[in-house]
Amino acid sequence: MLSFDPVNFIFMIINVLIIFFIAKKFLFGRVDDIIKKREEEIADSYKAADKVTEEALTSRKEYEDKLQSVEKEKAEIISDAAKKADAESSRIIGRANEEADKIIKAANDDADNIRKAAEIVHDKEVERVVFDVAAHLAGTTMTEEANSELYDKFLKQASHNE
Amino acid sequence: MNSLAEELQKELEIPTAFTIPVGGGIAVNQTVVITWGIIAFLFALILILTRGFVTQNPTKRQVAVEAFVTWIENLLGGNMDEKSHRYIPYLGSVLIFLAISNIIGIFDIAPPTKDLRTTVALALMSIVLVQIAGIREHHVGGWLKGFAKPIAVMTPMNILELIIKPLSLCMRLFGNVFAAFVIMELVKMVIPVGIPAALSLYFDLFDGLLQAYVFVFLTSLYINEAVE
Repeated sequence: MLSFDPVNFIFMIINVLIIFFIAKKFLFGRVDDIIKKREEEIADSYKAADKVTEEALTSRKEYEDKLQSVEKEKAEIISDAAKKADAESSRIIGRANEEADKIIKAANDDADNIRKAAEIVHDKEVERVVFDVAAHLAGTTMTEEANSELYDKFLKQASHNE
Repeated sequence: MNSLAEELQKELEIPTAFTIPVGGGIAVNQTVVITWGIIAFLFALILILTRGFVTQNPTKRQVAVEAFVTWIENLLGGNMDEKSHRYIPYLGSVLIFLAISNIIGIFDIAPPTKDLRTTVALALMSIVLVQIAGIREHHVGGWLKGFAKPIAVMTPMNILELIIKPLSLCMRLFGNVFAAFVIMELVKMVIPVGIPAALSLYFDLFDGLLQAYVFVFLTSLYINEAVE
């Protein structure tokens, strides 16, 4: 039972070493490898996720910046358009006033012409009266008295004609 | 009473399984052959269980194997320093081998740990490993100086420990398995049916696993002490 033979003792040591190598290489080695690999993969995917998030944030900022500049541009365009519209409307109103002035002036001119024409007509009437008077006087002697009488008559007639 | 002693003696004999016809003939005993069987069984089992491991969506088999290995690593690493974690695979292998050896009695196969040669071999390897761990950590000079710690008077004691530690390791393991075997044989002689099955649960399963753990646990403590 307690006899000791070195051969079987050495065999046992070799056996234990074989078990150790098998377990180390195929059990502990494989499991540790796969766990390490999995941890690496997890770390990688975390890194990738962080990168994607960062990219998303960057592009969102870009988008917001662009949106802001678009807003600014829009405001500029609107104010430009309002200015242009103001200028255009004042131009149009100015022209309209000008037109109106012209029309009024033309109307005044017309009125003047008509008045002048009427004056001419009136003058012609006076002339005719003068002629009538002259014709009437032609048959009478021109005394101082008669002359004055004639003059009064003329004035009377003239005022009558007015 | 005499016949009982003879019977036990016979049971504890390690018969020669076969002789290698080299030189004067090398007698290979039963324990070694049974251990070869355990090696073959373990190798096949490990190869089957660890086949096709993947990092994503592992099979239930892979999850179970990973959980088992992680459990062993935590069990042993829990009371060990970070520096001595590199010895976990060796301790794990010994634990698995001892567990199988100790509970193999259930299948009516003589446990290899019943043979003193096995436990002596394991204890010797353990103490060599402990010294290697000490030399690796403190180099030869530091390792030698370690014997005179904490005070120089302790040197003979520390040197004695080199023998006492492995001796206690192998005797404890051998004694437990041996005693369990003897008790089981005695019980079988008195009551051949029923009771032995129940007692076998304690002596072969519980005590077998417990002693396997104790052996590895003490070795890990010695390693820890050596690298400190």
